[in-house]
Amino acid sequence: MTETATREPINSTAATAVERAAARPTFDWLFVVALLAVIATFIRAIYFTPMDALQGPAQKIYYVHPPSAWVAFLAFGVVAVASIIYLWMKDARLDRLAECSAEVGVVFTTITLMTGSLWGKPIWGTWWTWDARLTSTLFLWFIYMGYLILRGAVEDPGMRARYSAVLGILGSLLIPFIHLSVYLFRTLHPMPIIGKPSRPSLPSDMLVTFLMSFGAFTLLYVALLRARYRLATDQAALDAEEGR
Amino acid sequence: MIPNNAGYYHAAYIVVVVVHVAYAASIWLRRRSVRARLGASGGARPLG
Repeated sequence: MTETATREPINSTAATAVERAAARPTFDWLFVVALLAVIATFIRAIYFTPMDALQGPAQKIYYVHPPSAWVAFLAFGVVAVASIIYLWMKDARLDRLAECSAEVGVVFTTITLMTGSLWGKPIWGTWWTWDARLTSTLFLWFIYMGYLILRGAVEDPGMRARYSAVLGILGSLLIPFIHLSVYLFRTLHPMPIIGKPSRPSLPSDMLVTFLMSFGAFTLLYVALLRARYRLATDQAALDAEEGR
Repeated sequence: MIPNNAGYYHAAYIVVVVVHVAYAASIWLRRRSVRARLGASGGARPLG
């Protein structure tokens, strides 16, 4: 069954799509700003933030691990919102946004899992444990890897967008569960430091670095998403040009 | 006594940098390839 469930290809010709792609800038100032923000955060975390007396230097992994997890959740949240609106409006740009955000989210989830393991080994004495928080985060990674594989497997654009929108929405339901898993289950994973009802439990020097890292990583997410979206629109223009 | 586990923290920061650089490079390379193909059809200016 072939569907034309997306709005954009209906009212745009291949020629105008190529012209729009040609007009898009190739230099991304936002990416440079995000890069500088991340470098500034790393310098502050490494050289100007005090070391934790109990955990030692490994505690500084906190400045990359929770911010990566936050961005992953944000990215998959964007997938869910874009997918819900896509199912309502059938606009190809929303499907493209969901695809791009899912890919960036998988990158940040990969970093979350890897940096978590690198913190767990010196602090817990193990690289991995089948704890509720860790297992559900790994499951989230598998869901969105499946989402990306699904997108590559379905050729019809309308069906691909619809199936992946449903999977994108269902996958995002895991996010509140992951956040609350440390309250719902007996787990090794530390409790939230700032995402909790009471005040943040960090000294001010560490808290500033922590918040700075959240800001820098969020900016990096926006920059990567924008770069990835530009690639997707160029790809759509090429597909239109080649009559796919 | 503060534990000596700096290697793990260095490794974590290196992982962050390597994964992000690899991903950003993959976006740039894919876009360059797409724009080269678009350019061949007379549409877009190639990257780099």
